[in-house]
Amino acid sequence: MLVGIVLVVGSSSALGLYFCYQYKQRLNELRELQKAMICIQSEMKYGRMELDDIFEQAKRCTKGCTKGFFQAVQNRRGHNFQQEWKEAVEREMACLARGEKDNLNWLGSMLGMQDLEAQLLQIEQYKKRTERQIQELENEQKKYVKLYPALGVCLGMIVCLMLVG
Amino acid sequence: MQMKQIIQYMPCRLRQLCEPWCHSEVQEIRVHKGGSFAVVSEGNAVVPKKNYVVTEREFNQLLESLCGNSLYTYEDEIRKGYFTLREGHRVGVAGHVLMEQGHVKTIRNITSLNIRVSHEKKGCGNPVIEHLINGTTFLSTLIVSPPGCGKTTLLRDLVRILAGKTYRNSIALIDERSEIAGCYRGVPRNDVGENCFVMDGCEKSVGIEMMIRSMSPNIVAVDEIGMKKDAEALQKALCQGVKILATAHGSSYEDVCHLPDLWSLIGKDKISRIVFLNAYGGPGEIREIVDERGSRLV
Repeated sequence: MLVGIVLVVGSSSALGLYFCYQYKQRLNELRELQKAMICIQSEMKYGRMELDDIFEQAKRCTKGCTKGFFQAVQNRRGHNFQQEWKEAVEREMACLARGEKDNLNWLGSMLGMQDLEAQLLQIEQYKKRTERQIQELENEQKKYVKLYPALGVCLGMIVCLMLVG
Repeated sequence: MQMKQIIQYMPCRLRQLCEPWCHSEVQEIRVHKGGSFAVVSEGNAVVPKKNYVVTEREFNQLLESLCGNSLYTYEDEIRKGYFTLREGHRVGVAGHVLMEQGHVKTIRNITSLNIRVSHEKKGCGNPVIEHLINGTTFLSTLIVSPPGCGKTTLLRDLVRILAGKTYRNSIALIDERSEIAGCYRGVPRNDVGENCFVMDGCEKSVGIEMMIRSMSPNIVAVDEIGMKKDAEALQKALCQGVKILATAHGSSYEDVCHLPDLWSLIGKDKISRIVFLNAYGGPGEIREIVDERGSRLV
């Protein structure tokens, strides 16, 4: 019976920790995207490089899912950039919430076919939106980072009590 | 080969239409948004499929693909009405022009594309080269023809021969439109000889001065001269003992004599050879070669 209790409480605590980790991961990826945008902006402005070359640079200065995302966009094979960008967002940036993915998809729909001035403005706009999302997430994280593990432990104990009772 | 390079940029249906030309010598591909699609081969424009209409989506996909989804990279070139692909092919654009203080700010709503296929025809300069050399010295030469007759093709091959192992000239090639050497990230994709210095994407007049100062070449090669500042830069080069190899639009000796600013600045006697290309022959086919007095040599 003791083993069962340990297993139930352990797994519910792990679930709480997993939710907590997801917050951290989202936050990290958003920060990585911010970092990538600074790189993209400067390469566009000063290097006038093509997007694929810019993605190569962005890949080098980021890590985690963001790195994989730029890798996937760079390795696209078809002719529809926007569609492939969207697919890469869904596939590689699965850790992001819907709103964050939509924001990234919006940027993808704007990239490539406009003049430099418009491109830089759109990246700036994306950075501002992401900054807001990061702030909101940081506030939420403060609230939930301790709550989720505690909630996991409590839930496990409640389930055990119900089973024993 | 060249056609295969261009086909890779095309969306599916256009690619299928172009496949029969994969092994032919194509000069141009003309695409109109919501309109026709034609391939120019051996001087004739052929419509691959009757009543075929290029959809807006297809046209946009082609344009996106041609510019590597990075239209902003080609902003400066598009302002002049064209941009060059990494393989050296030139894409002419037409659409709505936005002007600002008398200058073209940009071309928006691009509606037509003309892809001019660049041909590297190694050896097309061989029949000409002996007439352009006196002993071991190269004679300043102007290649003249109407558009689309192979001036750039001949220029490229002459540069390759002159900068190659046989003649070993030190050539400064100012490739303003990246058409001659077809540089990608600064590395020439076409063979321009081992002793050739390429200044890629640089305005001719600026490039000539920079190259003479920094590379001390004995020949300067440029494509499509015509503006006063080009002639001024060439004049400076000639004054420093550098020979020139250039191309210009025209079809007769009289046309060349009337090129604005060219003769008044350079002086007729400084250009020792003028090569006229045949407008109705294959690319780079020679019609005649004349000397500085207009006397026919070939």
